[in-house]
Amino acid sequence: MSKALNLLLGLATLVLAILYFSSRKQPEATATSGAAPSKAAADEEYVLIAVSVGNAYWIDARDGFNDAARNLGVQATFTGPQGSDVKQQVDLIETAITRGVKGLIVVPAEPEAVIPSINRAIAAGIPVITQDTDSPKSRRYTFIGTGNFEAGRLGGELLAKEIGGQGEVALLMIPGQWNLEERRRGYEAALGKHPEIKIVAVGNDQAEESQAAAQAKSILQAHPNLAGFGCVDASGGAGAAVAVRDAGKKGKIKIIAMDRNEATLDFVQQGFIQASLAQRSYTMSYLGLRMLHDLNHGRIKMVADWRAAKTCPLPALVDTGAVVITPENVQAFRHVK
Amino acid sequence: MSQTTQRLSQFVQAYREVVILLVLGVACAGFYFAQPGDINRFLTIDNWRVIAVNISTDALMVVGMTLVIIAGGFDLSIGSTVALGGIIACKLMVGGVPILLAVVAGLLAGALVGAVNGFIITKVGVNPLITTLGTMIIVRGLCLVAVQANPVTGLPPSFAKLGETMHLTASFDLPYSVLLMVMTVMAADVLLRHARFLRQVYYVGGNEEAARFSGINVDRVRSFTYILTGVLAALAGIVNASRLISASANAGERAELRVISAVVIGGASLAGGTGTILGAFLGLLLVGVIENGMEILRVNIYMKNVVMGTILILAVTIDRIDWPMLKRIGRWFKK
Repeated sequence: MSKALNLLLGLATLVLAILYFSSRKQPEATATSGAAPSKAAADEEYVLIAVSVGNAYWIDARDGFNDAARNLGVQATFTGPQGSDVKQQVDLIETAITRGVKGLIVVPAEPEAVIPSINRAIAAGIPVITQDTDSPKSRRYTFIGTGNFEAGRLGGELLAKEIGGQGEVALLMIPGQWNLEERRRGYEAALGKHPEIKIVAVGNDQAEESQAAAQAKSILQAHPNLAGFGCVDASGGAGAAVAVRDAGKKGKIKIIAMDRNEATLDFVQQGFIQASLAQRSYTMSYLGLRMLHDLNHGRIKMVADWRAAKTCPLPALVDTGAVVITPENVQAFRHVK
Repeated sequence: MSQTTQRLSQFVQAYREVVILLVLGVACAGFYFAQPGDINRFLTIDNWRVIAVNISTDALMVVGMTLVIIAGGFDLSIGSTVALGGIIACKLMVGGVPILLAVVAGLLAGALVGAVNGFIITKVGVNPLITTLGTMIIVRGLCLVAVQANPVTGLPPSFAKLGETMHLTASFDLPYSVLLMVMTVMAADVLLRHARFLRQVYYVGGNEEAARFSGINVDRVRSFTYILTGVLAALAGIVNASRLISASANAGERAELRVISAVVIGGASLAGGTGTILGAFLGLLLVGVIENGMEILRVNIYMKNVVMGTILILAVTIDRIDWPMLKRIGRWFKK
């Protein structure tokens, strides 16, 4: 084994030596890239770091991000952790900083935990915008989004109206995921204004339609008088609709869904889901990338040099609102026409 | 010809660490030349510091998991223990308990999870996979109950310092988490090679009956591996919390999959009895470098899982390749 150890030490020394020399060469390389502006534009990379990237919710945000990048002729990269572990996300922010991207849009998995890494990016001269979920205590330049609490509150109001201000309701969500907990608080605030409405169950749909359907069916078994489902995340709507369809209670049990994935829109069209709340996630990342690009190229001339003046010309908050998708307007929102 | 392939597979088995280093070298060269743009972003001290920080807490768990797997066990509960350790330590800190005491309490909670795993597996005789699947779900649930999904914040600034870096020279600084990783991995590797008590895990995992007859307290050794893994997972959670200045109930999500993959890539067999800590650590480093390299190459995010899974399968098949197998594959293709 000592032979292996020697080899190992030798290789380690070699790697360190390469590292040392390659990092010394860096300034030279930067100078050459400055001489070729066309190549520099292709090298201008913007990154959108999301959470739970497998979710269909990101289709719109990705489209907006890519469209903006195509219009501007820059690179767009979409990345993020599979789940909602903020540590994985912070790792990706740090990686983006060291590889010298030109701008970051972060969808914080948690507002507090991303503060150090967002601030590090700002300190390194990389502008950062938060999307969907804010990190108000960080040094990010702008927040673009609906605000999760507000989205939840709107959902709660719609649900209350649909069920006529009284009855038992259940929520479907993923407990523990920060942005959804915010939306739940919004739902609770809106429903709390109606003394005749009672939240009797909160189901865990594990971000999956089949799980959502199973949960919704169990909830229907336990609460036969249920008047409505409030779906806090994107997967709940289709799941609740399947449960309501199988129970033969179409239209009797009202469903308010979230977002605009195809499965949800199908059920809206068929009348199982009374309304789905879609955030303007396309607009969020489209605007976000444009703002970052404008900043980098000095196009917003509120002051001559915003970096020197230490004043960011971007708005502090951009509220993109929410769109209510109903059977009347659903056709316009379909991706597959 | 058959001798050559046999020798090759023997070499791969005997010098697993060297083979991983070679693969690592090839991967690094590939990423270096394939990176977009004129600027080198892969082989820089900054980037490698990021890689080191990113794998630093997983590395702590890799140390424990290697021992568990060598002893013939399995532990799915580590990811949940990460969250538990962080939450308990941070909740106590926020409540005014001195930092050191809070950290110790967090580690003890990890030890408790490990002890419960060890007890159920060795004394009740439930399969490790099932046992730790159960504790994984229970512990995650306890974390959610404890904080009701609100991240624990408002930690004392001196605790947050631990997540930062130590300035060695003007241009080089070493993050504490990386220092902790290097010390833990080196100490554990040396101890596993030379300390009598730790060497027992090989006998326990290799041949349980023989180990029992030669007077080894098999249950105690097994339980020890789970307790140590619990403590290290809790430590990982506490280190992460100091880096993120908060602790949340979904910390450590999927950590078990990353850590078990690394240990297996590093040459440990799930049948028990084989594996080294150095190998497992290099396995983790390989995974970390490839993840980082794919970010730099702007590989499609959804493609990453395919790549990582393929590497895992390749790693476990590479030392089974021999001449008869190649002939079988050749015949299969001829059909």
